[in-house]
Amino acid sequence: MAKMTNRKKQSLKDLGFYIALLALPLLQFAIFYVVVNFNSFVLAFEKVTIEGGVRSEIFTFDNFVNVFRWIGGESPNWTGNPSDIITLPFWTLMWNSVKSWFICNAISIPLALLFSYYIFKKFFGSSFFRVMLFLPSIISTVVLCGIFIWFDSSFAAFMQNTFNVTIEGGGFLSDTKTQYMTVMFFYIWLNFGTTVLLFSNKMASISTEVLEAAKVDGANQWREFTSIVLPQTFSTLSVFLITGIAGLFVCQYNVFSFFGSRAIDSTSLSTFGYWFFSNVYDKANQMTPSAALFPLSAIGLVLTMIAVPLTLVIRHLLTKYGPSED
Amino acid sequence: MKKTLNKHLILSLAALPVLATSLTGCGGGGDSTKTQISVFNYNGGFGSDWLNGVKERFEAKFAETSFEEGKTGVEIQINPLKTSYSSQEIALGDFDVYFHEHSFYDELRSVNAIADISDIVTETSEFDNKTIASKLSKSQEDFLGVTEGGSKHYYALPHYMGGSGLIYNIELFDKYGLYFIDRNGEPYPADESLNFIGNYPDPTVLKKSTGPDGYFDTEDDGLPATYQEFFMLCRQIVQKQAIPLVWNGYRNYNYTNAFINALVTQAEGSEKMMLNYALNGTDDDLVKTSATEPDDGVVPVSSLESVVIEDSVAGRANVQRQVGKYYALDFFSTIVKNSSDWTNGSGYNNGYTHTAAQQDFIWGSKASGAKDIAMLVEGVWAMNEGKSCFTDMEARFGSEYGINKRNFGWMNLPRPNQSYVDAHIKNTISDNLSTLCFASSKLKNGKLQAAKKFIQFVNSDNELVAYTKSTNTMKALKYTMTPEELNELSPFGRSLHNYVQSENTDIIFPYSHAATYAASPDSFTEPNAYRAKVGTTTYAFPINAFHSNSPVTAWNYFKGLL
Amino acid sequence: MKTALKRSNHLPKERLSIFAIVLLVVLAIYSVSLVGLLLFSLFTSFQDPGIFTFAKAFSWPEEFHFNIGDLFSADKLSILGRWNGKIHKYSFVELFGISLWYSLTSGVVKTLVPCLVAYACARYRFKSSAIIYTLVIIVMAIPVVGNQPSEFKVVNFFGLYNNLFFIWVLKFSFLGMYFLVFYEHFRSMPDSFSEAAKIDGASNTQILLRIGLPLARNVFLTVFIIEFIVFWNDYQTPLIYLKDYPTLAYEMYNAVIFGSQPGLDKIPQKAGATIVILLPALALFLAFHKKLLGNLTIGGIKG
Repeated sequence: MAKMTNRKKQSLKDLGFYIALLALPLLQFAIFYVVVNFNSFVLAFEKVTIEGGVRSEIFTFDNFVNVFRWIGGESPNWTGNPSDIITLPFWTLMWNSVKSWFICNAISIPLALLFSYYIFKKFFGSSFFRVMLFLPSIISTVVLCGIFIWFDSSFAAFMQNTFNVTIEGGGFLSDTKTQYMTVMFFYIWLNFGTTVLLFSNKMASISTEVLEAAKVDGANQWREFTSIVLPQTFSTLSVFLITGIAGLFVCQYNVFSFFGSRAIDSTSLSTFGYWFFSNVYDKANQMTPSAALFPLSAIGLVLTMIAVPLTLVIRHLLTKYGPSED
Repeated sequence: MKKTLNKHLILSLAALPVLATSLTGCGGGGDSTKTQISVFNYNGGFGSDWLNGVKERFEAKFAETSFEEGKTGVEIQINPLKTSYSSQEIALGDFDVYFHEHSFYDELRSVNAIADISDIVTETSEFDNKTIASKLSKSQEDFLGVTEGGSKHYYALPHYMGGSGLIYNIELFDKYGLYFIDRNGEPYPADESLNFIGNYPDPTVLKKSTGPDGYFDTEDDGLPATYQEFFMLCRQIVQKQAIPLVWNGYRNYNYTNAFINALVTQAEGSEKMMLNYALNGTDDDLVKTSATEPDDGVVPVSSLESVVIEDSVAGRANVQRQVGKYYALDFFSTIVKNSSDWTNGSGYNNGYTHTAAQQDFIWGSKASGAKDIAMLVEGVWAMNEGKSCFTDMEARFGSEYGINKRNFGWMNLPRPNQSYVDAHIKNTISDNLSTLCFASSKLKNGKLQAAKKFIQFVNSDNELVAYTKSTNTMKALKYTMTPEELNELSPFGRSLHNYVQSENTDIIFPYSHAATYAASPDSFTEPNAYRAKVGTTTYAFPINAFHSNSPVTAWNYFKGLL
Repeated sequence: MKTALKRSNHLPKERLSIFAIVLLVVLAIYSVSLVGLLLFSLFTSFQDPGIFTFAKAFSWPEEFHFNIGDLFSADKLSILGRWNGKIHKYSFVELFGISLWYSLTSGVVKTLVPCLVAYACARYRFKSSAIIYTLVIIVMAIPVVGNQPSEFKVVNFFGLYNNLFFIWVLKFSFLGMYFLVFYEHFRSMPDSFSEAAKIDGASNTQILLRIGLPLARNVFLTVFIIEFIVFWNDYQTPLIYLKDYPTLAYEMYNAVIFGSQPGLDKIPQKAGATIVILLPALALFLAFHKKLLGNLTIGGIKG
């Protein structure tokens, strides 16, 4: 009996401690995630009207009607003032977002896996390369973008003066034909950091016996990589694939850092993430919310409703058909 | 041990910037025995050097005057900062006097940010025996003078005249004789080069054309009068192995929008251009909504209509159909199409700043491997902003490369076609930077008196002249300069002065009290005034639309203007 | 079982196959390109700002200009903001201080909060632990697009807009990848440690402070350094939420790279500023890179 009372007391103490640890973080979550997203939901159903000089916010479905018209290929007048939101065709933004996601992930993830394998195997210079691959994550993106812009312009001038080769616009970032691929190249080139770090650390947890057994069986490095290391790393890979899908409509690929909001009407560069941020960033911090923010909230909600099932489907497919670490 | 030492060394590197700057001093405080007036000055292209001289002279003049009890004299504390405040921020009264850009007068008054300075505007100034009101143009007086309680009140004064357009390299024009000859009504010769006096053995016997103003013996003689002549000029300059024009790449949208607006202003003239802001009056050259794109680039009269412009969103939409806008957009799209030949190609390069463009223009072929540049898309402040380039050149190549020796000029812009030239529309430029000088409404008593006296002093004739001598730009008020004073200016300063002060030049003050304007004054400024919807895409800037993988035509852009 | 399996970081080094040689070449090119980019910036910072053009960028300077030293004057690297409601021109030291405050406080909470929540969920098998774990996975997987307007409204409502002292409240979240990192770490801790401590009469708090956190020290430090660097380089949050208190990252974005502030409007001057700004983060990384790069693993979210 005494033992049970002691156990109960300990249990209550544990519970009290547990609640104490979780209380504030859960409160923050409730406010800055739940309330924010609920408020976003509410904003999506409102719009601003001005009658007799008096501004009011009224309940409406107009924002969603406009979103679906936009998806249908029209160019809606979101707020009554046509220049409030710089609009690109929905499917242009969708195509740019999907294309960019695919290019970046299709190139960077395999490369990251290969680089991680090299580091995991402790080949020549692996410690140095590990530092190099992570270095861009340390440096501010704005700094890297700035330096890259100057380098790009200098390189174009060098090619012009030395080899009489003209890069239109004075740089790959300025030439409309090469702008997009340059932005993609930059993103891939300088975003290995955390990916390689996590992959290589995961690879380091693979048991030696398995690798030695494979060697005894005559497996070469390529075989070892594809048949043992890759499957063993799959759980980490699936994290990146799933969070990558989740970022489909959010990622800007550094376009804002390169161009500010001036590329907002660019049909080749603008992704949803960039377009959204450019339309919002100078309006979000005004004391009186701009009329543009309400339809933008509705757009965000619809995109979320597209992205959520997509993410869950991908997750399900990876779970069902992905290799098992066992 | 070695590892720890390395770590300490590395961390010291990190701390180095902090240590270094902690050794630099920070000023502040000032002389509290004097009335202290803090002055904000927008430290952009016009700079703040001019204000240093004003400060010295004002402080000397009032060294023995007591504005506040227990204090004698005045101390002007200059705060040169490159930032624009919102009206709400100005209302906080961080500074006493402001020389501000991007200011919206009605907004400032509505939030009670600025002090009533009517007395110093209307009284005869002790400094020049004139009233400041007499130096205002009619449009400035109509805008700034607001009727309250049966009398006119002023809360701000214009600051500097901020126009945009083209600066041209007179040295290059003179060197190659890039001036059009007077054809005396004859058609253009098949060989374009025969249009230019430089291609004749004895140019001195030839008469230059009238230029855009349509009159002989004026400053713009020989300059391209029409867009067609401008394109000929570009081709001619290319033949001379020079670059016709450049603009900066980083803020190309700002500068090219301002350039397009300047072209529209020159085409439409002051009365019609003001309709864009005042939204009251009749415009007789609006393109009909049913009009189709002209084959030869000239909109026929049958495609134009006369419409009463109302102060409403519909009125604004109507005024966006001004035919001058089509012509200006068409002109600009032609330039963009030919930019690989007619520009240095850097006008779309994010890294090519406006100071780099100024440097390239000023240095020209003196920079090794570079070509001379004939024209620079800029504002009237550009030569002042690029002062350091002149200083550098002077140090390297001698005094003949200093700012007062180099021959650059403010170009009178061409007109859409000969009918505009023949109509003798006045040269028109838009004072478009929304610059104002005002005092904070938080000032009281002695300090307010001192601030107002300072503003009155800054706007006295001697100080207006001193400003122009310092910056080689013009204040947005009426004042004259003697020939001796003009000789102290740079050639560019004189050229700009002559252009602005000419009887044949109108300066429009593009602001109004119209309700549609007042509801959103920022949307009327150049960066925002040329948005267009073409198909399902809204374009923020013409340059983006014309320089894209699928370029939009000028006609479609014009039809889609918002 | 665990101790019987050797970790493969004790594998002997192997000879390079063709496959490995190809990877070596690619990595070498990558490293050269990256170092080259930074050296380019350093080299450019020594050019004469008065005559610099892109055409001269690869030329040896006629005269070396120490633009980096130039920037330490109070005028050049300064920016306007507001302190206690009054206009204030921030010096480099003050910008550095604000950046340090923002990065430190946000870094600490963004590390500590997931750490503590992960500890609670990993070590205490209440039903809600599984719920919280699943919640983290779901939130990571569910993209929320376009909630900035709403976020701003809520932030403003709670008086956190433009609030330097409490800006870290926005980061007081357990959501994110590092929760999983800490979770895996605490799950793998043997129960025997805490059980022995309980027998000795230790309270839950004592177990956390004397056993849990010390054992997680390496992971904690690694995550903290990563988060610190992320916040050090973050300019978009200060752009929106710290209007009156600019950070160095914001200064870089607004004034240095893309601005035209007198004294900082020429490329060599801007290049010099980039060197100054990236030194602290670079130094921190080089000092701790071994710890940073060795301590993170993440489990799958398949389950």
